[in-house]
Amino acid sequence: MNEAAMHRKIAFAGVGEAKPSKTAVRSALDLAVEAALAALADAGLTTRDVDGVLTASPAGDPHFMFSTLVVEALGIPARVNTTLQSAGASPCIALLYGARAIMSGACHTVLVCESDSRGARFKGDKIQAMRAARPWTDDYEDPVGLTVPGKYALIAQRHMHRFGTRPEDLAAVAVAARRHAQRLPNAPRRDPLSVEAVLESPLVAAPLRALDCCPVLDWGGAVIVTTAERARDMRKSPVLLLGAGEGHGPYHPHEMPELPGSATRASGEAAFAMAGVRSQDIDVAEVFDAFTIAALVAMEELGFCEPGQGGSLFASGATALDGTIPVNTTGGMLTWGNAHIMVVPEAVRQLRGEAGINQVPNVELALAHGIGGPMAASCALVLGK
Amino acid sequence: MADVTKPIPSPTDATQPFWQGCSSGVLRLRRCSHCDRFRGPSRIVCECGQPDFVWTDASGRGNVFSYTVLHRAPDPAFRADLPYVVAVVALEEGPHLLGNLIECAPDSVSIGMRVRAVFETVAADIGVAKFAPLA
Repeated sequence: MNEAAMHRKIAFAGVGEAKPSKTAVRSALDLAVEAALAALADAGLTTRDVDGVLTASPAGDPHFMFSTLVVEALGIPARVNTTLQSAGASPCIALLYGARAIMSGACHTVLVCESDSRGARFKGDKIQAMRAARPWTDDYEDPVGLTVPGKYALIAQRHMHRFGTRPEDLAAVAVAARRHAQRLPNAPRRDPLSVEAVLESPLVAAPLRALDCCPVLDWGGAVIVTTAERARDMRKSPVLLLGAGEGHGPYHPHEMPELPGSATRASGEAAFAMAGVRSQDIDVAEVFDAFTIAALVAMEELGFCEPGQGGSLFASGATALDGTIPVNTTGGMLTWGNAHIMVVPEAVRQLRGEAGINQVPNVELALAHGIGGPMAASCALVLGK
Repeated sequence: MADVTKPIPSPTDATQPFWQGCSSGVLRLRRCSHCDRFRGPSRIVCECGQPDFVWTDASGRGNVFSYTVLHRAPDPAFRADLPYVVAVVALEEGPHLLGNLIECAPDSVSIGMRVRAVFETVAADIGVAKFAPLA
């Protein structure tokens, strides 16, 4: 099958998120169900209208058949159903694979969800709690004491060496995210933030500091994928999938010929080619920003600026709501925790004109993007109307 | 009581010569029987597509390709070492390796710095490669 055949044939008909809470006790399954019911209501569907389920794998409540728990809890008559694991790229990849399953005729309407209870489950030192809960070991990274922030720090240090990027450039990404979050009353991080404050926050893995890293919080998000034809009869005006692409490379930083690898660039090039647009045509970009360096490099690799110009892009105001390319309009993962799926509900809301106080005017094209493993896997989705 | 022992590699039939090499003071890597290139330790099959190889001793010399200074530890066993350096080292033979950079102050490290492998035996027939500045 020619992959380009899915251009404008697939719609994202409903989106939903679990509401953030400081007090609620919810499992990853509870969060997935809450998000799924919100997405179904948004589309005007019930669980009986869905025949496919693709979920990401939650770190807070690991389970070897998580998607089947979702199928069971919701009573979905699934013909397609599995749990995918590509870390932070999982939701965008699941949406692409859902689109492929629909195009093949295997099913017609897919619930994609990602949820995690890591905020509630991991107490005390979050880095250590997450490492202790991790269901695998790594012979190369574990004996040397490498952490996930450390893997992104290797990318940051290399970027500084190649392009003269400074800690101030990384901090500009966090400050830009916070400006968007401050406008949202329920944002978990919304105090004013300056470059100086980021540079004064404690070092985690130099050159990355605490405020270069996302908080560890619970989340749940869901998207209903279906055919463009079916979506026309659903509750909201459909958002169409114009282009999609994934990129993959080695997992370990020591096996990448350059840091970052080429996965993000490959995913963007494939997505833009299928959509028949260029990065300059995009009106709003929702990119992976669990770490400041990730968003900075992603904007370069996705072609929004030249390599080495990511820092000045964020510092210049270009990524603000009234800038040339608004980025991460809810404050991103740097605000909400690494809720990787959040890029898609927000891109859909921006296209529908439902983004409220942070609505960018006249959005015709939106990009949603995810990264898995420190830039080992990437998926980019170009959405339109 | 938390386990305060640092994690050690778990050799398999495929990786045991690498870890055993490190325990006997040599960096032993797969070298492709078809294109002669050395492979990184995680690559079983060569990028040229061929699986055949010969375990071959590398020089252990290289330069720092990137690095980070860890100020937060993944588990309590590393707490006493903080701050410590994890570097990606580009070996003279081509592949990159991950290792702690020792025998130098974290703030003296720079990309391009010349280093040599030094080895620590962590269990019988299991060694871990670290790197130190090349004098």
